[in-house]
Amino acid sequence: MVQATGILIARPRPGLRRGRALFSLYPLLVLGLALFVVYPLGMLLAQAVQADGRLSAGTVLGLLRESYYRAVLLNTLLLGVSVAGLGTVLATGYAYAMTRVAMPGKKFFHFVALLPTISPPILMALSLILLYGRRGLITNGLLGLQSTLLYGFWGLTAAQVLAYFPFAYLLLLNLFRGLDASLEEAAWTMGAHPGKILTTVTLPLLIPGLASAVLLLFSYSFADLGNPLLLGGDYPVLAAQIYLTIIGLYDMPRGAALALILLFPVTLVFFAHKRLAERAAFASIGGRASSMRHPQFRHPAVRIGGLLFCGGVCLLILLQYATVLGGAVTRLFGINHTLTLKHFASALTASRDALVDTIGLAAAASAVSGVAGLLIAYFVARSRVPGRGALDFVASLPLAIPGTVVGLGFAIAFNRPPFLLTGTALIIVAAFVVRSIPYSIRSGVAALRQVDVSLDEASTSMGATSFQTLWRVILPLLRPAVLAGMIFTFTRSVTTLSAVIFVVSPHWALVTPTILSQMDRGDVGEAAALSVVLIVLVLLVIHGVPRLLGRDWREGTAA
Amino acid sequence: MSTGTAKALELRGLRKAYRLPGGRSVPAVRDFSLRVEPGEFVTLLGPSGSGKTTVLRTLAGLEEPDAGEILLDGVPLTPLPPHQRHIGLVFQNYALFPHLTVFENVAYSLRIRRTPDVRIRDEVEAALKTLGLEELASRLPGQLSGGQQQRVALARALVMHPDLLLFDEPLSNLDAKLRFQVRSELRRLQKRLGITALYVTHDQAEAMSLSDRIAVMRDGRVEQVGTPEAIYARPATLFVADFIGRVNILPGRVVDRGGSGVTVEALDRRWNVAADRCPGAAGEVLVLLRPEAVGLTEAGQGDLAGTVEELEYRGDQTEYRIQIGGVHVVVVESSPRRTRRIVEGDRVGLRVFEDTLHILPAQREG
Amino acid sequence: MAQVTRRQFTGMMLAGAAATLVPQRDAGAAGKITLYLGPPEKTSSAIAQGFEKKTGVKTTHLRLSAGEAINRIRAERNNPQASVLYGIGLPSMLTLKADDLLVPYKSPEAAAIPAGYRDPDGWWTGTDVDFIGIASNKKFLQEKGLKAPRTWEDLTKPELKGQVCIGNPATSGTGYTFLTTILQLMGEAKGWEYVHRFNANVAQYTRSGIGPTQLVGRGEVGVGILFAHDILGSIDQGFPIEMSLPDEGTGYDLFCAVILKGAPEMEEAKRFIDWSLTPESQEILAATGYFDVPTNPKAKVHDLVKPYVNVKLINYDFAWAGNSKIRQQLVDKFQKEILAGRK
Repeated sequence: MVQATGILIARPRPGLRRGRALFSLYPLLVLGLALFVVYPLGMLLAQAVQADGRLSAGTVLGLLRESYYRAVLLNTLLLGVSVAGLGTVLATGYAYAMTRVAMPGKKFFHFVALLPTISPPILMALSLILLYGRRGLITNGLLGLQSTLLYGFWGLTAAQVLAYFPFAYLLLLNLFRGLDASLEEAAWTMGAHPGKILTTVTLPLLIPGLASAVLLLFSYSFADLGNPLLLGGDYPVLAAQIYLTIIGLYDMPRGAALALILLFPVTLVFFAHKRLAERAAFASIGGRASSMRHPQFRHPAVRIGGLLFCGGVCLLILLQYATVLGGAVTRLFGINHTLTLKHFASALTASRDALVDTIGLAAAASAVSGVAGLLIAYFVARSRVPGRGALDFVASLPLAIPGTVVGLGFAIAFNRPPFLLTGTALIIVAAFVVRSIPYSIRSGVAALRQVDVSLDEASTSMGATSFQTLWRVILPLLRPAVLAGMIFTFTRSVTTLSAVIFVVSPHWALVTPTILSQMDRGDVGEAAALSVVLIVLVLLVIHGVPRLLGRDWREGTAA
Repeated sequence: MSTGTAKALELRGLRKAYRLPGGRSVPAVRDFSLRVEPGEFVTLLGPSGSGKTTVLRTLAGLEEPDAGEILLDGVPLTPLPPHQRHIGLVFQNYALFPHLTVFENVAYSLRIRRTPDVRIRDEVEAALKTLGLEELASRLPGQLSGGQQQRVALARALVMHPDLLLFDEPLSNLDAKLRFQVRSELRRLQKRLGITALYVTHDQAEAMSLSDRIAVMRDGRVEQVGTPEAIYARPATLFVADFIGRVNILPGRVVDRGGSGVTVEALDRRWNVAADRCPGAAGEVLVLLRPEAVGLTEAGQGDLAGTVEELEYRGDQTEYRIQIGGVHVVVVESSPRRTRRIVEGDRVGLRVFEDTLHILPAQREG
Repeated sequence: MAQVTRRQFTGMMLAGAAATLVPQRDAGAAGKITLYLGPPEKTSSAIAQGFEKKTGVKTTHLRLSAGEAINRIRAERNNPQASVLYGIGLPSMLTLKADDLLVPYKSPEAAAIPAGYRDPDGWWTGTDVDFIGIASNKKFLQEKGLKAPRTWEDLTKPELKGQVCIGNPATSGTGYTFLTTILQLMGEAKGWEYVHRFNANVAQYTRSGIGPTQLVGRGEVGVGILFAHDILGSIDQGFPIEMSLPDEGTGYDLFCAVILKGAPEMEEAKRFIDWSLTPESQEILAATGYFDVPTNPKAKVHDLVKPYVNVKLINYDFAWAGNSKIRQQLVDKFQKEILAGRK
């Protein structure tokens, strides 16, 4: 009876009034984002635009005036465009074959294509050198070539395409799957053969998705630090140049100015992307899809083509990983192929701290990112709190910001009072979280949109506070999305190099910088062994944790 | 706008099972056979899950049958991929290409076949005119109402002069009034163009009003094929009787067989049923009585007497639930027939239109 | 299959959140020290462990290249994380000194070190010396019928086009030492002219100075310019490499130990410097495959290093090379004139 009267009392904005407990977290989130996103960027900006204590655009303009830096900028753009273009084509073909061609081995193809998303991108450079370098197993050993092509534009393109196309593939896979199947069926019955369906219906409808893939790859290429450091000796790009300027020239203001220059095109791309996604919303028009089972083309030529294409790409990827494994178990890959376990022993002893710290900090980051991401998603998608748009914007900013810039911003902002965090675990966890929270939010918002608002309303009308609704109704329905976001945060955190290279400290060692310095020193075996251990650990987490948590976390009960 | 000569469709022994991820397979269509005459409009009617859409998709080539033959004027279709079948399909959600204008949507199949631009313009304009869509040619599908989208989908299917026109519940996304209007338009158009058509729906009223013949489906098989009248008046099975329209099912017993029919005892009274309405009936039977085949009269008059237990007033009709000696019978009457309103608890007399009684063997259907 | 309840989930979340709040690992406590070390990880670990074993002071260390070290120490100016920087070349130490990031310490052990290898005021003390050498892949020499280069000029011969590799002067101490050696030996004008010609033969400037060992060792390039300890290390690992030295004399670097300003563990830092000058400490270097010449005359010299103890060195001007203005100037010029012209 008491509850019944509760409903009868007029409440002008039930969402706000009833959920005080939940909404008290809102300022906390705002503060967190201000501290870890806005503040470091501001400090970076300040560092870049002041000279001799005065405000000046001199550093930035000075850099742009130099032909060397203009060349670097051009290199970066050219590489980004090439990687984006090639990677998107590859990803489109792969996603198409996986969703539309009747062929065996799809599970295997999918697994292989996802390997690069869970391993440190620099791994690509390592195995590329071993396979295709001047004395590479394939270029030199098999073909007798001694090509320097690898060290520069082509090598970088190859490394980045291999490392990043799977991200675009994942994106496109979902879009290919989500497209209303009846559209393609309609085209088919109207006389279009599979190729025509692809070019006249599927691809035009996926244009926004393809653009997303292009922009995603573009920004990944821009942000990549490891591969340019290892392969781009004669092909300087911005991310590496920032690193070299700071590590080599000890010139923080110039590094910050370069970071600003890097930030500019990336931000532009990001906003272009946002506009595009908003305008071209028709890809999702087929909400009432009549059938989600898409045409599976069985024409022999299509099937063989699909198999050859996916098989070829898989072969390229597997070759990379086989090489890493080979490097890990041989004494000196390329010179002395005696089998040995000493690299693994060393990875598990000498680098044990790095492994333990990486796993621990990444786990902490995924917990924070999971909770904060869900809350922000809830505020953005379900509440009417003022400033939620700005909150979403700020939290999504790190999508646009390359890891190098985030790391540099952190290094500048947090090594002085009032926020003295250098050397702490917090700074690393914060860097991890900032880098991955946009994805947690996106997946949370997307999942929330699937849950009908009437469920919230029903819960509220029965007297639940916002917090209770979130806890008892929404969270159980969102478990798979939350878990996916957390696992993503975890993998992204353990594999990132650019975001942490400026914030690692002796107290908290991380794996990727360790691999980089091992590769620098020529300890290919140890670098390879450590990479293998890392990949195995990540695979265990990805496949083990959801299994451990049970079915509800994997599939969810949402319709 | 007319097709060449209409073609005959023949389906023989069609089977299709879906394999589930666990390795189990679920039969969707089992041993389905049907012949559709040239220019005929046949509807597959059945509850959801009865396999009717699977039959349609198999016809279009979107599903591969596990067994069976599909012949169009005697030519087997099964080996052909969808794009070589020349079959028009109107989807439940219309499947209009959201990135193309109405004109381009309709022109799609012609462009695919590399038709010269001039002809495309003529053909598309003719198709749009047929469906009264001339004004909308340059719109995008997102800017159309549901009814307009439905017409575009139809125009798009017609413009390719298909050998066969398939409809997959095309009216289910329209509101009731519009559905009624489009229904009659569709029928007129199909008759005018003389295209052989196969229509899938779970709405019996739609099936009745549109079709030359109806094939009632259940669990992947055809339960009964016939004209709407035959299906309604002489259902072959209890399922058909129950699925199409409403029916009172009364236990009865055959007491006498004559040359012209049988005498059956039900509701403590004897009825004469014509021979074509009691296929193979003997002993215990079920007597089917349509609710509208009964009229109410004053108490003491008519064939039977009963008490009104419940009534539901619907404006144009009134439905009564009447108890007759322990058995409940539902009666539907067109409403304003008499001055005195009947109320619950009234004793009434019932007049049964004996010709409409239909008898099915009791053991069928379990 | 185990199911996780919301309660358990909360528990996990809280545990995760708590993990982030745990403060940095017990740094700054008595009897502990944080070290920034320059030598390769294996040697660095051995140094840290050696000190720990000798003194009982618990160590935490991070291996850093010269550039990383300088940058990090600058960044941590307000909040120094480490007390000692060890095993980094003298020019970098001079840069740190100019930035006011060091504190002087005159170790009692320094008396054993020759005067040329230590600062009279104790700002820095040398622990080991190494010089620039030329590493050639034996298989490459054999295939091309060449002899290992014996002069700086040999490196510009057309036979070596695209076959030379060296650390980028902007990022590696090796590259910078090479550049300054050439400029000191030949003078500014002729020196830069040489660098241009040399550049034509360079296949790649690697990020770190040690990078070329891998490339030369695996035969990706024929010749690498490296510090001798890296070359000898690779030979020791089994790479088919031959080391040669330029007749004109070669540059060298003095690797030092310094105490960082604001060191959180000052007493332990002093003990580390003391220990780093002892033969016991300096012998760890070669024992772990880091083949330098120890500055303490009493330290044993490894057999691999012995032949090179009396190598012809130039009179390397550390004050000039270590001046950060000069450094910036040279690196800038190198980037603009040499690197920018490469494709």
